[in-house]
Amino acid sequence: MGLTVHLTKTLKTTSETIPLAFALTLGGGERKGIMGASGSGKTTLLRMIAGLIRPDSGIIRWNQQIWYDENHWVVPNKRKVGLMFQHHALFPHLTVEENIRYGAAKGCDVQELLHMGELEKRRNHYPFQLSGGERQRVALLRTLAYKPEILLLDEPFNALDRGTKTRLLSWVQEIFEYWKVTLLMVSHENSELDSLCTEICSVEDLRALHKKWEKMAEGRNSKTYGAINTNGISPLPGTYVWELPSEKPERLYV
Amino acid sequence: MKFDFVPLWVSFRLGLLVTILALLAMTPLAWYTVRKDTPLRRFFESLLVIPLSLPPTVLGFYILLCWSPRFFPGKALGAMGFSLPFTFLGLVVACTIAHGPHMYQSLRTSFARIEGDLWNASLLLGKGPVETFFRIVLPLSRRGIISGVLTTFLHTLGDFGLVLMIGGSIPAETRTISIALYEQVEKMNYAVAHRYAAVLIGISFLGVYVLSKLQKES
Repeated sequence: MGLTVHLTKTLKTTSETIPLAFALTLGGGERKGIMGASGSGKTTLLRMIAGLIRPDSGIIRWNQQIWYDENHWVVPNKRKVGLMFQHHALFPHLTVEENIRYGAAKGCDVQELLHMGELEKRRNHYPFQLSGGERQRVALLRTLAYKPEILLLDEPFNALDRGTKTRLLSWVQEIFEYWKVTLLMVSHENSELDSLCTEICSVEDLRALHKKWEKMAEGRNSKTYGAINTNGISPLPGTYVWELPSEKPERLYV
Repeated sequence: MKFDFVPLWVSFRLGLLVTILALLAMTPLAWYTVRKDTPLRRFFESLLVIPLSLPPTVLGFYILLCWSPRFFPGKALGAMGFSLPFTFLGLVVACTIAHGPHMYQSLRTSFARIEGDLWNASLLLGKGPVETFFRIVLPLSRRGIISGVLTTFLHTLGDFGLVLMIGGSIPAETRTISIALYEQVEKMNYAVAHRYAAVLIGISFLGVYVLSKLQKES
């Protein structure tokens, strides 16, 4: 049950080709954070889960439904995934209330959401008339109004000053507790993930990871590598996702 | 001779129909070429836009040749009972080919400016591509649409070479205001010619004024 992701994707930029491989599970109601440097493929992972980027191979499964494999493709608007974009992507020609109402699910109380975001006085304002923190709140409330089954957050607190960020974090934390959100969030800041997620993974460059494994494998048995191969995924050069806190390669998320 | 309103009405009808046709045809084309950046796009786009860089007489000449019964398009049209040269319908088709690219360029520029994540955000709020197009893309392209409508309409209204080649000067059918003006000058009826010219100048001024206002707003 929950979300299962096993994917490979080769990113081609003008200067280099970056092969990525991901393996990830997310149970219903879990809140997982993925940390990694810019350019490590975090955003690509979220966009593949949302259906905005087509992976090269692998599988994405949500509960019993296969969203992607070699025979299946579920379009983004049928996935019930909410993605909050790095730059909010608020509709500039719609007011705050219209933005939130745009994708609101049946029975969603938009007035309550406006109240929760302290946006009642801003309901008729357009996005360009809002501050960074307000835009952030509208973007989150718009996504929540859709009542997605999984919420994906892509560096949601980027470009905010520290004071606004702290206030927003505690507000978002309360909302997540209240709504029992299933969350996958990427960020390059550990503090944000710490306060919102129950588990944190890391995206690391495989070359650095190999060195780390070799060090950790010293004096241990060689299951370290076996674990990867028995999953049927051979180590590819590029970026892998693995679990941080335990730092045990057996629990590697490739 | 007095001022005749019929050529003005012919021009207005022509401009209106060409603009509507161009809007309907170019909207999906422009959107498609913005979304799908295939290698064929440039070739296809050049083919579509080439009428803008051709002298109207050259374009008119080849359109006429195409419609002649000696070639396939003309034969096919004839078989369906259509004869386009020297008819109002022929003018509409030819002017859409000649001036529709103005609409295409304006729409394409406007569509390309829309941030890709707005489209994605709408999909991820459960809306399909068609609904997203009508509720997000079109309202955000309002200025581009108005600008495309105005430029296509004004260019059609002011066309002379192509209209003369394709339609000749049949009263109440293909005699547009530009042709009527030309004929009055030929007959040295300058007073009437001035009136026709004044109408064209007035409409053009209004159009250009609105366009510059739109540019300032954006």
